[in-house]
Amino acid sequence: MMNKLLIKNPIYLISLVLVTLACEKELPLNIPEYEQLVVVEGMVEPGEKTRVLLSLTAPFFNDYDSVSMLDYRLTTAKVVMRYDSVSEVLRLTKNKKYFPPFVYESTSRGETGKNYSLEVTHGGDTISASTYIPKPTSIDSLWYEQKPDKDSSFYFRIQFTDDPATKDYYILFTRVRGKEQKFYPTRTAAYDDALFSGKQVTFRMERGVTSVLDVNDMQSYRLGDIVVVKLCTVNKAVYEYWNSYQNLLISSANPFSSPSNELESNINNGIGIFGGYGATLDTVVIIKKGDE
Amino acid sequence: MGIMKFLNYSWLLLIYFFSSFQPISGQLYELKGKVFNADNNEALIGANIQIKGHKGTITNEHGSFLIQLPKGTYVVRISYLGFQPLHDTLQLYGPTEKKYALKEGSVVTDEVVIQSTSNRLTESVEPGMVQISGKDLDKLPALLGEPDIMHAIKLSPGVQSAGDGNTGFYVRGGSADQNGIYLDNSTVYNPSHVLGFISVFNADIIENTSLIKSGMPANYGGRLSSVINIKTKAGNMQDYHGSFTVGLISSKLYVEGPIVKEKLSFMASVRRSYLDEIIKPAFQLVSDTEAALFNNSQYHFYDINAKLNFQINTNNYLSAHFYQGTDKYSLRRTNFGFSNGFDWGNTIFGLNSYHNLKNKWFLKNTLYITRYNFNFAASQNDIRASVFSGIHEYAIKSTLSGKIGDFADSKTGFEVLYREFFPNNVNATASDVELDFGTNTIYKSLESSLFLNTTIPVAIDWTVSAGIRYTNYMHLGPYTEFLSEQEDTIVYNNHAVVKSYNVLEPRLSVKYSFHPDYALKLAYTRNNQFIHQAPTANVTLPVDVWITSSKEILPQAGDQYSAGLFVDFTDNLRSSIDFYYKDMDHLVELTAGIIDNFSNKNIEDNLAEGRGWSYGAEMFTEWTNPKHNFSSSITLSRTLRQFEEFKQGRIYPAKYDRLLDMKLSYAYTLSEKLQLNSVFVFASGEALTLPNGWALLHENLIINSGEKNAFRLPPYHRLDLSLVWNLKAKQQRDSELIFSVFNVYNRPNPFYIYFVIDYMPDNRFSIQPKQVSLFPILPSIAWRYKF
Repeated sequence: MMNKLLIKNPIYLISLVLVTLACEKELPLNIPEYEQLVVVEGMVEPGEKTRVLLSLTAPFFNDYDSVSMLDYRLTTAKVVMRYDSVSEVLRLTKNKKYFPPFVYESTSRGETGKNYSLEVTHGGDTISASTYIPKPTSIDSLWYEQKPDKDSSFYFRIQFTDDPATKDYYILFTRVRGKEQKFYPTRTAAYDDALFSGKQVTFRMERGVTSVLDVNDMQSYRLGDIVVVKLCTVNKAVYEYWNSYQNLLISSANPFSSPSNELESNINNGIGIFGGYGATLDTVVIIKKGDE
Repeated sequence: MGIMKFLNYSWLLLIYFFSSFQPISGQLYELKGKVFNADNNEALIGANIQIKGHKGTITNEHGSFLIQLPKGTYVVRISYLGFQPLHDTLQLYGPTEKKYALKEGSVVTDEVVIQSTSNRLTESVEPGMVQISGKDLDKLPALLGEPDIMHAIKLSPGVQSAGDGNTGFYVRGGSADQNGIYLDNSTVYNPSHVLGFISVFNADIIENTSLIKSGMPANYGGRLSSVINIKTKAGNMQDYHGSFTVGLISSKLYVEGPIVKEKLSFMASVRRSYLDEIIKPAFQLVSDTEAALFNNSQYHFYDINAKLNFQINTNNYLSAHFYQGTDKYSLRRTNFGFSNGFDWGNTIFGLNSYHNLKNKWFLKNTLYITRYNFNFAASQNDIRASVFSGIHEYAIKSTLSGKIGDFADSKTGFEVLYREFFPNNVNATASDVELDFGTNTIYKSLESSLFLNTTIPVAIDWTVSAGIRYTNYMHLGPYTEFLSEQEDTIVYNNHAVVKSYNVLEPRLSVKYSFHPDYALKLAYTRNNQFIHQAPTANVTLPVDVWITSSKEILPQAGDQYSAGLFVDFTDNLRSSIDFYYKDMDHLVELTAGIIDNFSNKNIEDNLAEGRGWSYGAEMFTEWTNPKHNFSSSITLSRTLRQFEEFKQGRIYPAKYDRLLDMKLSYAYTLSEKLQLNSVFVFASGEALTLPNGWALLHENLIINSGEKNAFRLPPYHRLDLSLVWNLKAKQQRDSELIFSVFNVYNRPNPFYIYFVIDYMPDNRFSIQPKQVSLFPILPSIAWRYKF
């Protein structure tokens, strides 16, 4: 994420200097009572079932492990999705690909260009959100390059052409087959076409943060990896969500972050994202050292 | 047209104002006096005798003068060009005779209105006026061997330091951009070196400094919260003098003297740090943090001041001054493949001319250029980015001061400021593709003001200072206005008027001296500000960008009311209590980071606008005697903000809302050779936003932030000490050793808080808040030689 940091917030570098001068200590704080909110993680894609994970926010300063984190899952809500004039109740299923492993799933599959809305009722509260699946963008070219001075570390470059007629936002995901159960955002995943409207662009893709449960995160792609790349066209709300999500992952309460560093949710009466993704997929196998 | 109309109207108003007063009459007594040169007892012909609120006079060919005055207490100011002015407080209860001996010295007769150099609190009409002389600075601890004017200002009541590592300071709840800082009347946009630890004002060159935080007279404007005016030394017209100081982090040289005796003199100073060479190992000793980053980094600053003074003749005086200073930082890390560098600094060139006119009217003209630039460049692997941000100001100011009638000390004049803003010019390339951050924007503006201020003793114990300031502000092209999400735009050509604002600011201060040593002061001030510094981070950094008012960004507006009691108990003991309420509108904050603001649109699309309030009480006490000098300022205040964009428009405490802010200073002259200075500061903790739990999203923990600024950091407190040891006190040659200790008891004051996830075995983890503190105990030694 360093690339993004450099580009986005040069003052992070001042923080590097200050931190070297500075000393650190643990801080006793009076922890406030927290207000529990419903957390929504929902995705709708062309040709895929809609999947919604629900949980509740947890108190901040506790010890946790993967078992106690499960205590904050929400499996007793009623989840309804609406599109066109259809209203569908999503069914709770167990799915070990996800964490917590409980997913509300539709039977219908997403379609490009459609609007979707979501309504979650839980303990008298109604949580709602809506999204849209924009037209997918095709991948012009995709290749990998070896990192200098490193034996078997690789990154990708993806090339695609922005549609000059529309205002577009993009999110990049990858999945390493056999090592990962699902797609994770790349290290710098969110792009706004304000920078390259109507142009053909190339972006470097580094493997991103996977899971808090995975201590060895921020790995590279390796020799022999079969990597599925997913380029998604999204709307502004989804872009803002991922942008703020990735910023929060690295910055937390850093004073050098921007003053209003908060998660940009599109959920009413809750936090999280219900996103439509216009997805294009491609698969590459890293078969040899050096540039192709 | 509008201006002319206004001018006519204001003169009419003035005439009306005067015609409604009758001079106060009663029994008059004679004050007779003689003024002579202290060195040779020669009579001084044409010396100025001024008595606040009364008709002044000049000495005749024998150096004598005569004034008739009603019974009362007066401050008499005696001045003569090329001599140091003298102040005398006298009680006139009958015919009185006085002799005044003036010492030579090149002091500019700057203004006709008495600028009191005594420390009496009951003298000025304006309640929020603080004067700091070079001598006062010598009574404060010299941190790292550097006495610093900004540290002294931060010790005044109502002025809050933002804490370590923070450039800004806050006056009565106003943000950092609301303080106008002027060096010989020229604006200084960034007053700090080393992120606020040292100011750009080299103490060697400072003659005196004034701070106005309420009851601002109409000749000052353009900022909501305060004016800090730093006057530099004129340069000795007779002899050469100077000093040099060798310290641990920087060294400096100061020289002054005549080029043509009694006609032309110069003053110059140079200062340069070697922070990177010395402080690196020092920090490694005191803090156990690894300084690995330092191995490939460089940091230094320098500044240069130069001034020429030309005494054209007894009535005309010209001075030219130049300042340049830069902070430079660079870092290379080959293992990450990145390198970057920043530099920032001010460049100022200014001219001031002073003219004594007929009937003791006095004209001061100022012309200056000031530029503040911030540059950043970085590269990592195949991504390269550079950012340039800056503000350039070109100004002309003129002030005419004198007496209207016999008693109304008045000032009138104009100011014209032309500015160019470069808020966030970004260039970046990724691989071979140039990223389009939009056309690099430049904003231009013209701010023109007219003012009139007059101070009138309306009765023996009542003095009123009333003023009015009119400003016309124009946002000028080139500018492209985006009408909607579509392609509709209006394009304004260079210097075309995009938007204009006209504002009228009334100012009023009233002093009621119900006893010679007691004064009740009331003030109302309205101010507007057309420049805005949008904070890009939660602490004030040199990268904070300046932007100008436009169609969307309304001028900041502030109203301040204050009421206070000021008492001079004795010549050595004085005290005051001042209450204030301040209301501020159209404050701005950025809603995204600096480069997030690229887009092909305008920066104002990423701004939030809101309101602020502040109220409080400031208590000040000072006690001096030949050996001891003690002062205390205690402020109790609240500062609130309300922005529609943040937290559904709920009112929240400002980040620097500190309920209690206390500063104590004590100087003790142990002997002729030893002086001990100390300062203790205490401020209750600043506000911060704490997380209200975490959310599990995409298998990661994401902080859900709670109520804005609902929690408090631990309080800030610190003790500084310094000992000045005068090695040999010969006539004009001094050699001093300055020992100083910053943060004596090594208090880890919070600089910022962040949260870390601690991973433990068995996939367990916990979240811990961590505090970062910036400056630990910092002992230092410096040597100063004066000649």
